[in-house]
Amino acid sequence: MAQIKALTMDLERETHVWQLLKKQFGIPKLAGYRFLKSGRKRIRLISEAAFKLLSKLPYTGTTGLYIGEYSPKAFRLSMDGAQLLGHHATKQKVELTDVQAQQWLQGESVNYEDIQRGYVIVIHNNTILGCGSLSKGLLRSFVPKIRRLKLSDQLPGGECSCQSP
Amino acid sequence: MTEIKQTATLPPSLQERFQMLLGDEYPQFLDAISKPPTHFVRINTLKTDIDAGLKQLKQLDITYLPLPWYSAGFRISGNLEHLPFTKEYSLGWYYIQEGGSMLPPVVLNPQSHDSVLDICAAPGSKTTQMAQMMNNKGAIIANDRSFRRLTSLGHNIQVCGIINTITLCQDGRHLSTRLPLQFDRISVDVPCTASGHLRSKPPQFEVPDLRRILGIQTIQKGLLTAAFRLLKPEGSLVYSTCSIHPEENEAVVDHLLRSSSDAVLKIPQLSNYRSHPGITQWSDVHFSEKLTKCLRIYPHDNDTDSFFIALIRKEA
Repeated sequence: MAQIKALTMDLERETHVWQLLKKQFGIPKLAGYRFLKSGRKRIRLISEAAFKLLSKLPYTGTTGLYIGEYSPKAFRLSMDGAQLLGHHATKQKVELTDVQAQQWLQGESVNYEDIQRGYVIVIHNNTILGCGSLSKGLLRSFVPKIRRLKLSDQLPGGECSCQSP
Repeated sequence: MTEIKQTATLPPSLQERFQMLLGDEYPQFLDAISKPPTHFVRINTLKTDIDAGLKQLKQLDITYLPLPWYSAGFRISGNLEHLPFTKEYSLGWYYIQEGGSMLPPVVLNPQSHDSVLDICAAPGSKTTQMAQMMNNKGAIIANDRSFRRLTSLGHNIQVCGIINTITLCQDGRHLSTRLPLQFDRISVDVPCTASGHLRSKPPQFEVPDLRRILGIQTIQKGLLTAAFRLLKPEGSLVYSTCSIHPEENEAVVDHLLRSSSDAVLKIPQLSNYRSHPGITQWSDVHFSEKLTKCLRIYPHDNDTDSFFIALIRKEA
């Protein structure tokens, strides 16, 4: 139970995360979601029903979705966190061209002049790509290495769960 | 020519097994496993909608055919090599998953208010499909005893944008004594010899080693028994394998039926796919007549790999 206790956030801190998301991106508090902490800074999002189940489990592996890193002053959304919550954002959004989107998804920083500063939700053709950091005309990419666009390779086959024990 | 080559590659003992199982359909089966593997994709509706997913496939010069048994599943062909290098693939719009492997979750049919256990979950094809079917609501406990495989499950959960899943790394056979919970639906997609993967993986055509099969059967029986204990009364459980061997299929389900009087086999209510009923006799072993309610799916049925599926309900 100690492990589960370590995952759950006190209500005050959970409220603070929602406040940060509202302040930074205009994302309102959404019903049916709960936050969990994972390490010192990382925040995960879990459905209300799964959260209720969590309290009954003696131990867990990973829980919910990693949605970003939290510090007292700012919240950096993960790629999937931005995709999940970004639709509710009203500010700190930037739209990329085809070439810029390609470069950004390859993990490269792209030149982007804008009055906005700090963490921004990156969009291309109405699709949210993730979250980047905009400063001094440069948009940094936080696309995880494993998710970056590569130039060529083979079609990966789906791994089968049926390996012999 | 291919058929002759394939037949010659099959060890005589395997040929004999397949002939016994398939009877008159054996030539059709051989013909089907001689064909190159078919590719399938599942559009992840937690990240996009079907229309947008299909539009992108079209732009990539990929032709697609909808799977009659699952609305988000498609048979794809054409310019497939570009798919993993697209923005959309990186964003988690697509999941490469064998068409037959999409069937067990469809049979289990998890609802958005359910609590679901996937007792052998990694690498997560069926877990992520169930989360998609549940619209990211309810709760899934995804268990696997291999930590390495659990890592790939965690990755797939993240890429697919799933928030209703908790992973566990436990031996599924001991879960019933360790979890103080019961579930509405349970997926029991057990480790198996994968003898039905004759097309999607390079055919190894191993000579069936009965001792090894029976060793795996012991694990399968343990997993199914533990899973059944964790099922709520009136809950549903799907037992599935991608093996053809009756020792891993009917024999395991028969064991549960004999040991649990509240276990009832149900006929999956599905249409638009071909299947064969489970068998009631193998060699000199007789199984319950109820096992005809199970599904045996062969490559020549729906142009997928082989699968075995049993839908079991716990009586109140």
